[in-house]
This record gives sequence, structure tokens and C-alpha cells, in this order.
Amino acid sequence: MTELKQTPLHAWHVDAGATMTDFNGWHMPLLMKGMTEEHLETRNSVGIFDLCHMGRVMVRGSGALDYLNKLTPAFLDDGRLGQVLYSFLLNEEGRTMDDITIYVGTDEHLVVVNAGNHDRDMEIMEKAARGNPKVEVEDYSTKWGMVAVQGPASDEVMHSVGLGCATKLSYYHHVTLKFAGAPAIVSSTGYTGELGYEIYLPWGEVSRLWEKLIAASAPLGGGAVGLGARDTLRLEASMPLYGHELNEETTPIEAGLKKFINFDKPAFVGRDALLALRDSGGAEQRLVCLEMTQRGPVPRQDYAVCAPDVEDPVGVVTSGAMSPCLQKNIAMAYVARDWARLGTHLEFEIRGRRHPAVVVKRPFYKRSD
Amino acid sequence: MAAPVDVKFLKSHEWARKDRDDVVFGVSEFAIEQLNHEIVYLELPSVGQQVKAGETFGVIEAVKAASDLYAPLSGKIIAVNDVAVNDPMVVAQDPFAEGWLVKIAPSAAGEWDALLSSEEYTKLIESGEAH
Repeated sequence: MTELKQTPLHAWHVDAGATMTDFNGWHMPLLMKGMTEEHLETRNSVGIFDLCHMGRVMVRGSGALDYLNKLTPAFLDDGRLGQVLYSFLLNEEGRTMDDITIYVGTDEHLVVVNAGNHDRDMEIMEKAARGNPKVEVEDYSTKWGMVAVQGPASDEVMHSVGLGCATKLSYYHHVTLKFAGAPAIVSSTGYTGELGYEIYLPWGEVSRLWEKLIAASAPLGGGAVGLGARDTLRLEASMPLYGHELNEETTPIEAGLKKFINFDKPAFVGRDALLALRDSGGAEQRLVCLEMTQRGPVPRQDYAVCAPDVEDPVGVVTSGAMSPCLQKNIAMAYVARDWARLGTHLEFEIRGRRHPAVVVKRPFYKRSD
Repeated sequence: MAAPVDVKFLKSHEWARKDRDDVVFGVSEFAIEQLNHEIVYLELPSVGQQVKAGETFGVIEAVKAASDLYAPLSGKIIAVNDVAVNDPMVVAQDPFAEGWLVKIAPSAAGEWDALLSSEEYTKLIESGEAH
């Protein structure tokens, strides 16, 4: 086994008694106190997340916007300055190689990718830049780190650590501020469905910011959150996770993410295939949100989704959990499109028994403000 | 972590305790730790069903995973802990008492002696070879 990589906060997590796990080659905290407790703290107050394991890539040069326009289905121009765009790396078949965010800047653009896809993404991005003197791609993954502040009390925490300016940002926008003299890119983004921020800063500054965030969140009833709660939070918010809802076998269209595909652009990787798929009436399967209608076992990835009185499965679970907020079993699943309408009665097949479920509106959880 | 002395164990972390002629099953505190102390669902057999030593008799589900439960002894289910079924966190909070799972009328003499004693089980856990 190769040695697991460590974030600048690794020693802090271990000292805090976190239960650690191997996550895509990184030794990361699965939970600090308890997944349910951390989940609810984030919903009710504030949660602080170590996301240094995620991949960060800086794209710069006079041809950078043009490069990203050809590489991704997002539409980028100078008018997008200060925005954070959710997008994808696709293959020529329009299938998803990764989901990414792009921070559109003046001179350089930060692309954030999933830890598990980092190496492949770097290959894709470097290959696409090869021979183009107007674009430079630099791996920032261990040059800069990343933490998230999520939950209704996020603004108070941001003010406490001297990053209060960021609280004026509109959703999915970013700004460059200073933290302790170092540059810090702060965005109003997140993966929980709550008000919140993601902060990028030099690797060596991450610990200092983390200590301050933890100190500021403690009196508010918040604290550090592990990857376990991060997963249930994003599932309640119906946000896709690569390797579950998104993968090399499916396109963003069947994942219900068509609005992030800009077909007006003349060319981008996967455009022809996606256009053909769209014009032929869309995909045969759809990603849906399912709720189990009575108490029962937890639906989990790869479990079959069936229709009442139909022998063969009509779909498959991509993610599932007992929802700490709804106190119900919830899941996202791909189902044949005839079974994807809201209110359709379906069944989870779990260990040979079927448990009734219904297709519900996306997302499962929406914050009240 | 001290295991009660009046119970015997399987390597897979289920315990058995004699209750006059009957036997109660549960899971150990070590198992609860492995499940990160968060139990969200229990799938247990019904009263009247037969269970066989070493075979699965139910499922315990944590947030992240579902695990099979193995029967320490063979016999017929005569009681199920409905309190734990309705609130599985009882098992996490008190695995050796309030969080018991099922009670059986044992059908095979001799199986009890094959189980690990509390001391043997504690040694197994402390050896770090249990999982």
C-alpha cells in the first residue's frame, strides 16, 4: 500500500480524536464526534471542513478563457469575471470524466476538481494545453489548500476571522482577500445546501486559518466536520458526487444537469454527442430523488430500484442514506424515464425484499431563508 | 474496554448470555466502535424463526454500511427487542444490556462451550487482530 497523503490539518484531526479513513489516497477525517451530530451542527449552526485533498489547477495566459471554453461545456467570457461556474470535463461521447468548478479571474482561473480524478484531470488539461503558447496549466493542489465554512452561522464566523467582506458576495461568486497578509480566494459556494463559503489560500497558511475558524465556530455550537457528514449533507441537498451520480458511463443530461451545458458555443469536448442525445429526446434513464415511504433498511449504492408488480429492476441507486434532517431513508437513483415522473411509486430491493418508495422533488432539503 | 464476564462471544463480535434455559444475543462494544457508534437500522428475525450457529440471523446498519449478524448458537427465536428495533441507537448506547437483540430457546447442547470466553474475546480485541 502506498503511503496516504496528508493535508496540513492531518495532525490536528488526529489530535482531535477524529476517526480517519483512506479517501482517494488521502488520510482524511471520516468523523470527528459523530456523523449525525456534525450534520445537524452544520444545518443548525456552522461546520468547518478540511477540503485540502481536492485538486486545484490554475489556468493562466491570454488564451486561458478560450482554452476553458473548448475544454468544458461552460460559457466563459470577460463578463463572467468574479463568477464561479459549475461545469464538467467530458469525453468525446459526452460522458462525465469529472465535475469541476471554475473561478473566473482576470489573469488566472482556478479550476477545482475531485481528489479521486486529480491525476486523470491533470492529464486531460495538460494534453489540451500542449502546443498552445497562450495557455499555462499549473497544478496548485499542494501549493494552495482549501477549507469550507458552511451553515446559517457562516457569516459570523467569516467576520470573526477577518474575512467578513466575503459575506457581501452573491451566490457562486468569488473575491480575493487577504488573510494574515497572504492572498485568499473566497467564494460563496459549498456542498451542503447551506449558506457558506469556500476559502483557498497557500498550503502553509491553512492551519492558522483553521485554528481561527474552529475557535470562532465553537461558541456558536459549530466545529469541524468530517467527510461522513459532508456526504449526507450533499445528499440531502441532492448534489451529485462523482463515482455515484456522475461517472464515465453517464452524461450530465441524464443526471439532470442540462442547464450547465452551453450548446450555443460552437465547440467543446463532447458537444456533438450531447447535441445528438438532446435532439433524440434525451437519455433513456433519469436521475431521480427517492424517499422510502415507511421505516426500513438504508438504500445504498448499486441496490436495485424496482416498480410494483414488475419483475425486472427499472433502475439502480447511486447514493442513499438515512437523512438526519428528514428522518427518512433517501436516495438518488437512475431509473428508466417512464418511471422518473414525480410521485411515481417505486421500490428499493434490499437483501431480497422490496421496500416502497416514491419519486420526490429535488432537492430533498432546502434551507428556509 | 471491559466485556462482561457472564457472556460468551463469537469472533464476529456477537455475544450470548444465558437467561435460565434461554439465551440472549447482542453485539459487543467493539462492534459498536467499528460502526462509529451510530446505528440507524436493525433487521431481526421474527419470533418462531429458527437460527443456526454461525449463520446470519439479521443485519445491523450504521450510517456508512450494513453488517450481517451471526448467531452464536442454534435455536428458535422466542423474543425480539422491539425497543432496539424502534430506536437502534439503544444498541450503541448500551450494547450489553438494554441493547440486546433477540432471545432464543437453544436447540443444540455443546455449542455454548465452543464460544469464546469473555477473557479470550478481550484478548482477541487487544491483540489488534480483530476486525
